[in-house]
Amino acid sequence: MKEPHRRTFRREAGNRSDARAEVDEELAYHLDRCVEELTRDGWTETEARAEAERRFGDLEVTRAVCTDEHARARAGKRRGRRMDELAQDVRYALRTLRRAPTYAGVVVATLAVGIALNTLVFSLMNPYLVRALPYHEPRELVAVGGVDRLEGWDLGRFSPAQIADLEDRTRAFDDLEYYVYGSANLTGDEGAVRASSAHMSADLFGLLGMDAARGRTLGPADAADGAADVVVISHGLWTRRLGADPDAVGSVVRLDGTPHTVVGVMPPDFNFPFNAIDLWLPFRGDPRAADRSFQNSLAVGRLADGWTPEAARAEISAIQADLAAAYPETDGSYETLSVKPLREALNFAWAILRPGFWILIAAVALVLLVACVNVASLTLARAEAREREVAVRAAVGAGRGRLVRQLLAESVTLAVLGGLLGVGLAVMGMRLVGGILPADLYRVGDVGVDRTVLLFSTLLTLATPLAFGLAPAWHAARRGLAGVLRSAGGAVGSGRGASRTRRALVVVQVTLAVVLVATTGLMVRSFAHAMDTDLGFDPDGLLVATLTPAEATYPDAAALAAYYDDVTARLASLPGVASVGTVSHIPLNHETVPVRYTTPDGEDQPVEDRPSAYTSRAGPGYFAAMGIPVSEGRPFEAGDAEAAGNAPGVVVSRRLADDLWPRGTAVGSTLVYGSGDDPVRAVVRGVVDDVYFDGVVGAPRPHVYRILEGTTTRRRFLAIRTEAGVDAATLTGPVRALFRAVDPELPLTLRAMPDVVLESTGVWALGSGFLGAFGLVALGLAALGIYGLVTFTVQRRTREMGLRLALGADAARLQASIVADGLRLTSVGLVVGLLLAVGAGAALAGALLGVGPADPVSLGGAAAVFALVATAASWLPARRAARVDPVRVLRSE
Amino acid sequence: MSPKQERTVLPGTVELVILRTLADEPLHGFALSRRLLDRSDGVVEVQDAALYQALHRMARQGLIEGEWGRSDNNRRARFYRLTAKGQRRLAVEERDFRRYVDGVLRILAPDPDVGAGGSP
Repeated sequence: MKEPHRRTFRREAGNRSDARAEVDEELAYHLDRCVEELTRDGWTETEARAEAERRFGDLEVTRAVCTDEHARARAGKRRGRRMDELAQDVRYALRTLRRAPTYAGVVVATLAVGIALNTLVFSLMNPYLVRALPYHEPRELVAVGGVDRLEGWDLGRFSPAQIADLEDRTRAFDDLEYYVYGSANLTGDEGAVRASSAHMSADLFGLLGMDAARGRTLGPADAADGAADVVVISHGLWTRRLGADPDAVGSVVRLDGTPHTVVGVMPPDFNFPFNAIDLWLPFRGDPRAADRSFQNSLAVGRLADGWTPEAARAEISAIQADLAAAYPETDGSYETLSVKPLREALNFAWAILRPGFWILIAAVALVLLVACVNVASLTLARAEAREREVAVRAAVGAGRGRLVRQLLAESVTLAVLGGLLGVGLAVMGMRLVGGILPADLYRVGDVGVDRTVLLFSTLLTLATPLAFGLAPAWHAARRGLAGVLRSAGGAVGSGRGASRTRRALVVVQVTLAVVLVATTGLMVRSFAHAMDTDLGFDPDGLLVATLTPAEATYPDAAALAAYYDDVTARLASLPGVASVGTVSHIPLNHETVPVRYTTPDGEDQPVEDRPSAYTSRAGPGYFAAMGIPVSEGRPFEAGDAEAAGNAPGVVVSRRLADDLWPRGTAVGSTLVYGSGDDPVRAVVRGVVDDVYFDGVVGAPRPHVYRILEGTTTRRRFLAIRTEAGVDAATLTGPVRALFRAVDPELPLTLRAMPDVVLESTGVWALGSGFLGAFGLVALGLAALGIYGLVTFTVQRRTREMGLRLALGADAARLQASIVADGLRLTSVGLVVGLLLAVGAGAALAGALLGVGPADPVSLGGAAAVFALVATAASWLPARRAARVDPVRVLRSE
Repeated sequence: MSPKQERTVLPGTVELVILRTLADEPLHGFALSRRLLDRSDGVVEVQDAALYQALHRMARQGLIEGEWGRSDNNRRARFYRLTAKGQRRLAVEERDFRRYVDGVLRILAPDPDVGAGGSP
């Protein structure tokens, strides 16, 4: 090949002037021939030239046009040549790889696993954290919330009047709107269901910039006083309930007993404020006329041009300070406001989800690194075996650049094959694990391969040759062609440098794998701890029914009491049911009501300084049904009721009792709880054991149980305890039938308590499941790496071993020395890996439960596993080496 | 204007005649222009400027390929030859052109039903 020639022609700058010179020469030749012709006919030289140029036509334009075309033609041809060479390189790479199917297969499979895991984790994370929100200009959308003085929460709600005042004064927002989500009983021919709903302020749909798929969305006209009862429904509800009826718009559905006209159906990808919402209803009336003390609305806004969330937060907090001064009783509940991206506010689990996904991404990145190191090691070994081929090609004139490109083409070809296979595997993986992700968390669309995922996988695929091709290339560059040629004469004994590099790679690989396996150990231990944690109640054999009787049917406390007493009595007499209790909030159901408490002596203390507890209202049978032991005093009894004139009684948790009355005098003492202005004084009737209420991390928070009987608490949970030996699952049918018999219009949610618990411990279950799988893969890859290296070393030394055996060396000793070599490598990686694992554990401290980052069980377990695996991986090739027949080896040389 | 310059080719057929001529043998620009004149008994003359612009455009399109060679008077000249793509283009254009000319000739032919002359 004319390499140097082509290289000069490659220079882009030279291309145009070269093209001009060629065109000039071509045209000059033409004119010369014309002049020749004319002079033969008797023209003088000068006249002939003038005539030739005249006959030619516009010479300058032609020169310019031809130069331009010619330059483009030359550029195009060079591109074509490069493509040809690329195709040639790829064809050659494929041919070469076909001749080494084991190598190619192992490399492609290894890379595919690495890329598949990364693609899988990224595509799982994509709808939750990455994919753009399905609203107009979603980057401008923010949630505005009040920062709670006592708890520090920053999504505090407002009264519509307060939001209207904020909107009047702010310049940072183009628009501020608000919403409240809840649920409604949807009744009809298909039976009753509880459907999630959201009330939307006048122009919230306009703020989001969303149109309905059919009909219309809600607008300011629907918010007017006396406007008709209308509802916009989700695509899901439209297909499930209305059979995707094209004439659904205009039909009437009953919500909590009131007929509502369906005015619109939203498109399938619309979700606000979360995916499960099926009904959107208008807020009615003038927000300014609303009661300022009714702070139930969540604010959402669109930032005005040029405003950052931080600047908007400062501006609107200053406005809030003015409002707090004007209305200290109501608006004064927040000193400052928060402004944060809408996605973070809508996703309840943002604080857990984001770090969780980063942990997983870090883990799969480690797996891919281990895979790349493995491939690098294999490639290095192969490069040595191919030194002769390379030398021959160099000798017949293949340029150095071409050779390097050839190797690169091979790497890239392998990577692309691995990437294709990997994405395919990831798609299969998504089907497997897609279902275990929480469906009710805010996400945009479904888990699947989209453009972002493909871009991610492509970049990853193209990055891998850098990771696994670097070491071999560096090595090749160091040796250079001369080195290859020199050593190609001798068969073995070359490439000591390569061996060193390979040994280093195995150490790196073991190190990375150890980090992953040890971290997995920490996660598994956290999960075990979560599962072992005494929740304070017994979830097994417990069913939880949730009901929200509609106000239209059950208007007051008496009607509610009649209903709940009736179903409670009927349930208690159901065969297989041991006991039944009612409560306003069930543990681990992701909702908490905090309350400040103190003793009468502590009442001069500001409320902010008092300790805080969770509170709920419980009925008489609650503690027995839940299996919460009563250690002092008594639980609520029938007849205890919240009634005027009675000093209310409370039951407190052990922690609260020990905190206020450390000498065990809780029962009979007076507890003060609630706000400073309106405190409630209650007599402590009993003390029960602590219960984990908001998750299983840390210690249970103190709890104040108030009396449920006689209140208008509409939604209640019924804890249904089955008799010992009765499978709770067998009772769901009879329980459902019982509720239907009492009120067929009332939707029922029935769950097994262990499922509720799993929502809180599932993070660790998912974490240890995923990390466990990744750790296994990394372990397998590391084992493969050790095995490959020892096998390779043994093969190189076959002759030496044969000699030593022939000279009487002990086969067992030989074998032991090979194994020891493998273990030496492993132990270096192990020590470094364990040190790094402690660091990784410290970084994960927030996700750990009941174990420290330096947990000896996790670290020791990882060490033991690696010692075992390394021994096995070195012992197999060592055994083969020791069985070498010295005579045959020596003869073969 | 010399009367020579009026004997020019129909628009759109420059490419066709170049392709057809180069199909026989590779030629440089000067030889090509003379060959066109000879083969058409002086009827078809492509102006040199148009010829060279067409050659370079067709080279860029990959229909023909230029290469430096030795001319009959032993000077460096740029020879053009047909590429495979040019070959295919020639077949298509030639067929289309024949069809077109056939059609035009049929219109020009005296209509037997109307009688000689054809004018009313």
